[in-house]
Amino acid sequence: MIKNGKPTVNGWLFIVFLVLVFTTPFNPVVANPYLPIPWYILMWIGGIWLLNRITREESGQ
Amino acid sequence: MNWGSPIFIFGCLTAYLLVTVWIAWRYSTGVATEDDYFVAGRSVGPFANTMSIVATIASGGIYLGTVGFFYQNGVNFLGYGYGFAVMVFALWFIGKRLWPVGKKFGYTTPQDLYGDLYQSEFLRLFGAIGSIAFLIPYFASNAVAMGTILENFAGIPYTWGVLLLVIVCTAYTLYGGMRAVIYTDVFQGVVSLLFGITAVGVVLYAVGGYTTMVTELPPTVTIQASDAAAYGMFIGWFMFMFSHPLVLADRMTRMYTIRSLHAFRQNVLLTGGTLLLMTLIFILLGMASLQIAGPGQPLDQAILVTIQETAPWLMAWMVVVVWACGMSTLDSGLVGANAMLSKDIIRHFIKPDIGQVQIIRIGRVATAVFGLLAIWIALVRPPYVWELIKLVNMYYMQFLPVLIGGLYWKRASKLGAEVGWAAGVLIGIYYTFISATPPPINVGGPPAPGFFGLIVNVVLFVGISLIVSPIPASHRATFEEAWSTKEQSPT
Repeated sequence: MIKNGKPTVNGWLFIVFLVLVFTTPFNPVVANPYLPIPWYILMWIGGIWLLNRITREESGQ
Repeated sequence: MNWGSPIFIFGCLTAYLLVTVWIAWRYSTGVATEDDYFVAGRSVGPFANTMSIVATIASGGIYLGTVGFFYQNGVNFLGYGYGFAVMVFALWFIGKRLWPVGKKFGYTTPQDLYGDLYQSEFLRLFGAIGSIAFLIPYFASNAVAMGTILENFAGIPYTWGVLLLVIVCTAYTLYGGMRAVIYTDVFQGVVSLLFGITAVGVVLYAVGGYTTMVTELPPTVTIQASDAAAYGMFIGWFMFMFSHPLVLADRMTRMYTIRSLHAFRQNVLLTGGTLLLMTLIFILLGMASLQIAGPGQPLDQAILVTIQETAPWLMAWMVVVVWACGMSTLDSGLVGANAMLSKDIIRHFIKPDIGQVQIIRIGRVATAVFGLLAIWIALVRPPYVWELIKLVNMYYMQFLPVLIGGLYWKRASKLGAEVGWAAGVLIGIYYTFISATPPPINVGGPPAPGFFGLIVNVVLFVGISLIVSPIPASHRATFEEAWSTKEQSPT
């Protein structure tokens, strides 16, 4: 996630992921009765996709 | 057919227990070394390790209590699920360093790492004593829930329910150690998830589908609030769920049991998918319960009322699932506690030359003793013991800076780890039992004392480590050597 002291693409994606998670309660896009749960699922799927990229990068695959 | 009859429910439970005992017996062959007994020979595959992690996280009260929290708070309780979503990343980063040193140095407990890495007998001894003291009441609380639910739904006296649970669980754990725990967890996890998927389908159908349910529920539970109290709950439960799978002694050891780092990578991804499924089940069951059972139900009763009203044929399965969740936590706790007693305390401080056969024997005796203690706690229900349960997550959360800092920060120091950890634990205890006012940084609810303790802990750990000498480079190099070794295993 970090190379030569700078975040890699996966590092930046992880930062975006964290920002989206921690701003969820304030996120105006999600402030709708129908969206918090689909958003939650979307965040998880995005998270697992990113985790797959990171673990592959870390494993040197 | 009367699906809710006590005889039918007890018959289903008996069938479940027989399968569990058969699995434990079938997969417990070849326990010859302490690695076999405490960490399943470091030979577990990704699917089994995933189900073991998830089943152990799902304690006896999870289908009642967690669903109850979603019933009460709706989407405002989603910090619970987001904590797991970020936790799986930490699981990878911690596990990929913990597994190689576990294999290299023969670690089987968290204190093995803390004691050796920081060269701290303080963290080893007090970490082990505190962990055992908090873990036993925690897993004994599962016996209380199991005894109560069996009494209510199968008409079996509470005492007999407690005895049945603890004796079966202790017997197979004593016989097969971690191997028996993990492979019974697979069965228990599958039974629980299949129930959850079925129950969600049934209750969503009963309320007319997702969009109808959301339309008819009040906005207070369907739209996430963003005021300070709601965000405090979000962050507090986030940290609770983020930390405990990583540091609680009975589940952290799953980072030792996996057979290779390649398998661990698959394990982490599978854990992510399974936790998404599990948390989604709780959210939907909780919100549907509000519509079906109506407001005002006791939190741990809402799902029971909902199942009875919409699908009484699921009731026996529900009782089995509550037992499965309870057993998967109780058996892991038994192995975790006996590993800490026999290895961290007896081998390090009482009898250093003790052999593997004796360690396993002591572990088995300790399992039986802890099982008896669990029975005593569940039957006598001493009030002061229940206070300890409140502290279990607070206590373990304080290991988080010690663990992450030790693995990833070269400036991490023994003094910083010891002072930060001790201060975090003492502050958590103070704000739980002594102080009449909440902590200065208050996220609200049960996580508040531990959360504030963790902030102080991190500040002290980092501040002191920046001032004093870090872990000696030559000592740290022995760990870095293990981390840099490319692994290595067949797929």
